[in-house]
Amino acid sequence: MDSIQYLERGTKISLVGDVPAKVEDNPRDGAWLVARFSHSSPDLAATGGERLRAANRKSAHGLTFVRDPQTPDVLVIVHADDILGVRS
Amino acid sequence: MKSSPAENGFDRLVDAVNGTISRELFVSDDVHRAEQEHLFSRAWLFVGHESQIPNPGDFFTSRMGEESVILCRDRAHKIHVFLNTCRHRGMKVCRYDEGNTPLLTCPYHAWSYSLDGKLVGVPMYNKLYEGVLDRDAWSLIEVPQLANYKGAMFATWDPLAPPFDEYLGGAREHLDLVLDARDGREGGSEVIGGIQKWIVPSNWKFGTENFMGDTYHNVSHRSVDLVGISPNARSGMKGRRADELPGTQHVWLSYPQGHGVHSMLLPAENSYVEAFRDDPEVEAYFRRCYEERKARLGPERSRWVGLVGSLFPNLSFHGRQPRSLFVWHPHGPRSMEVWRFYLVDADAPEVVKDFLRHYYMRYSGPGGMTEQDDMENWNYATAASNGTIARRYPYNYQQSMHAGAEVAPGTMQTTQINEQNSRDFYRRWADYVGNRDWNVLLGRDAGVKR
Repeated sequence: MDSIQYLERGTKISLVGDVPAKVEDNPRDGAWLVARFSHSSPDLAATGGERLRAANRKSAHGLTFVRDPQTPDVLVIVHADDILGVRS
Repeated sequence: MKSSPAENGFDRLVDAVNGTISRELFVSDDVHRAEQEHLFSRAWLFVGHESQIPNPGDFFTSRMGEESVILCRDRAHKIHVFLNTCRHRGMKVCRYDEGNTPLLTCPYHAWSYSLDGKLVGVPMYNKLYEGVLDRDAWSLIEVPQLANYKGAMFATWDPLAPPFDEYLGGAREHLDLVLDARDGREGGSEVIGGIQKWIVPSNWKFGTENFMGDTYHNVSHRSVDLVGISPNARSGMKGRRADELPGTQHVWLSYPQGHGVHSMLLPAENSYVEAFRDDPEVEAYFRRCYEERKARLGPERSRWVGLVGSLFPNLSFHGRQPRSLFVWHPHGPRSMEVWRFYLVDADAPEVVKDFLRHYYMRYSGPGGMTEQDDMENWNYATAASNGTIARRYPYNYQQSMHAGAEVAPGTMQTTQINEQNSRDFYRRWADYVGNRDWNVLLGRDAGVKR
């Protein structure tokens, strides 16, 4: 990724470990953003937790997981280095 | 050998019995340090208004004493106040005045915090810190106590400070005259526009004292009254208080917690006085508010009208117009940073809000005509008090020395222009900088000794 500053809310991205997520909030500080991992979607319900844990192990920075109080989703605070790219 | 105020003891600087206050209070580095250490680290301080952070992720960068703090609302809608400093190397984690963000990221090494203060992002955590750094133990530093009083947010660094309600005490009724809607409903006010901030070469206590009801200085504002900046000015009523009803009783009250207010009691038989003649629509709004307030509060309570007041130590307010809260932040011993928060009824029509916004700017702030008069006085008073010779001579606070009456334990009431409120404020100030306990600071034991 050249810069995470231009990632708008809702943009589909891939995190380290090829984890699919969407941009939830971007403070545009160039370092971190908050991504939404739809843990509850049928194809990820069983493996979602393990995929996130594996991604965390691959990350140099570490991922921080926060339960979204409004939904079953997981919010992932992710460093720019751990965003592999934008998904179509 | 030159002695310092700290060596002399702060009590000696305040002689409320004889009505003198040392100039050291307004210029001394020792006094300033003691205030930061013992006063601003313990007293309840105003940090902003809830209406400034309505949404999750909203933040407003405020101050407590000389230190920067962040007032913010987290994802779960909870309000917090944090010290604005990274736990790693101390850089400010927020360099903006206000805004919305999901993360507060330190610009130095990019340690990042969520809006509930938790350390959530540490660059290269897995390689450099895993197994050593406990992120849960390195959250932003949060105030131990926070209070929301009708939208006004107050915080203290002292976990042993009394609840805000006790700290506020009897001054509550007069703060209500500012924060309650003009039609008498509780709360319902919001901050309009941005916050005016400016630095004045003056000690912060000049501001607090002035707004405890120093109407003796009206001569300073003579030019304002001659020019006419009131909402009746174009209609020919120029003076700031030219709309006051005959028979109105002015009342000054000082409270054992160190607060002082100046309110007025309308005559028992009172009717609406036109105060916004320059705009019929605004006039109609305030006429309706007057009638509804009278009906809601009853004929007795509705007689009270708030003029000015100061809550210990550095929050002052205007109860009528320009209705506002303002903070005198210390900025070194001989300088202060003034912040003005202007209030309107949240559900007032836009035309009313806009009219008031213009009036507020005309009256207050660094460009406001009335405020300029005050700043000039405080500026020169500070400069003229700083000299070696000048510092040997105290200020005189003997006005209306024996005119007050104790109307409740530690609460003094005066009905003529006086310096009682200031004397009591400085007496309590000496207790704080002398690091006395909360029983003394609240006047729990003996009230204010006189």
